[in-house]
Amino acid sequence: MTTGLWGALIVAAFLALLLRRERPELALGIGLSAGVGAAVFWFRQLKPVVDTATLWFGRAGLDATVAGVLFKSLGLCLLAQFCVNVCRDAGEQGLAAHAELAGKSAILLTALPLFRQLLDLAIVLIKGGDG
Amino acid sequence: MRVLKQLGWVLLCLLVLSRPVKADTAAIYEEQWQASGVDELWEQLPEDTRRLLGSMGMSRDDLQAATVNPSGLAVTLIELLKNQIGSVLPGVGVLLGMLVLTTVVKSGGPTDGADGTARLFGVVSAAGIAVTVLAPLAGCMRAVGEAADSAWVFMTGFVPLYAAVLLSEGKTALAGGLSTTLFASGEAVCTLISRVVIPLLSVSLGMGAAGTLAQKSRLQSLSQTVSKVTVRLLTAATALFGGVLSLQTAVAAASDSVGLRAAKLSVSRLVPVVGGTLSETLAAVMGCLGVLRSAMGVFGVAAVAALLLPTVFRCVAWSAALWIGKSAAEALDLPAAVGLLEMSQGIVKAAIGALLSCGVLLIVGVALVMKGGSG
Repeated sequence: MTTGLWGALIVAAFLALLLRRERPELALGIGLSAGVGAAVFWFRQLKPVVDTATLWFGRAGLDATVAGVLFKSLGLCLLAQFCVNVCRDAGEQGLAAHAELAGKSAILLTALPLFRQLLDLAIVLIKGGDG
Repeated sequence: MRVLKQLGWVLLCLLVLSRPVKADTAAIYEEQWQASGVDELWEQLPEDTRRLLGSMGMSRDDLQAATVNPSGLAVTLIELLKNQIGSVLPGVGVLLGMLVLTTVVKSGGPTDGADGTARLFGVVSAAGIAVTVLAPLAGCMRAVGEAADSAWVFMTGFVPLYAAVLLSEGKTALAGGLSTTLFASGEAVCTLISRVVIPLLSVSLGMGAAGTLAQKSRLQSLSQTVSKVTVRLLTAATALFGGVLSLQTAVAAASDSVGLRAAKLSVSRLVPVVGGTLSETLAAVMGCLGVLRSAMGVFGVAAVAALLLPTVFRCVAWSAALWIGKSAAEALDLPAAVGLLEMSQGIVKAAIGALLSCGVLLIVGVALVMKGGSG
């Protein structure tokens, strides 16, 4: 399965290289499609790993929120980086910056319960209360 | 003549029937023990502490014997340590799991410096580790404050009773010294721990927690400084009060010893005929009071140790857990986690130091009075 993906990516890269001078928009389309396909494939491959890790940490008594936030943040981070790379490949530095900003915002929103939990803990410790 | 004869018979009977008068020391000791109120003090101890003292070989019924079974003590201490390690082990598992998870996620994720999202993800993973570690440590800090409070509450009941026994023994200077110096120093150190040290350490821990969200800030080093200052403050206070206590006990013991010998000599010399017997009876009562003082002292020392040791062992287990976590974080190349765990371990060590200072001051105080009183 993975070897098939690698083959497809090599073919896509070769095609994009051939078309870049004559039809740059088509080369970009090919690159983008191959990238999206690779990302979808990669995420599907990753799912059993995430499920197993979540189960294992649940058994160890780790707070599900923490593990969930970490995995979601990882996913968002990878997606954002993918998007940024595509924009940079297309020569759109401004769009790449916007994509990065959007990724950061999404990660912050996802990690908000974790940050809240940490700050609550810090406040309880600083106030010396029972929480 | 008849009267003289009768008097002669009475004297003869008295000579034949009279036996040497000996003070019944067991009865005296029992009476003194009942009057001392130690049994009530035993009842006021928390259930866990009584159980721990029981496993050391000390129970309410044979409290007067004032013996601690050494093999029982060793087994109890090992058992206590095992229990505390057992309670901390799941936390260690979670911590190591969290570190491995963070490493896996980091290695599978974007490389550091690739873009801002990678750095933000580093902050999120550090926050996850902080939540995993600091939540149980907050409970540990509370337990330290409560243990110091419990030890002091016990001493507030114990010191007056002990001083009363010393007073009954005629050791007025020592009794006065105990009830003022030990009371003042114990209160100062225990209050310092529960009202100043533990809140300061908790604030440090809180600052460390907040510092994980702002990794470039100096909050974690600031919290390490706070814990170092706290330990030095506590060491100085313990040394000061310990010094004052030992000096005062030594002076008071010497003064009481002179006074008591003078009293015994006066009774022996000044009271006609029965002066020697009275002096011996006085010595027997004093001896019983001395045994009572020793028994009470052993009970006091054991009770303070039993009140503090579970929390000390809990902190030691957590310190070991944090050290394991720190080593793992170093091996996994997680600098943010290393900083956080190092700071947390420093704070736990400071808490251990605080509890030990409290225990050493109270135990040494009682032991000094016990030793001073036997002079």
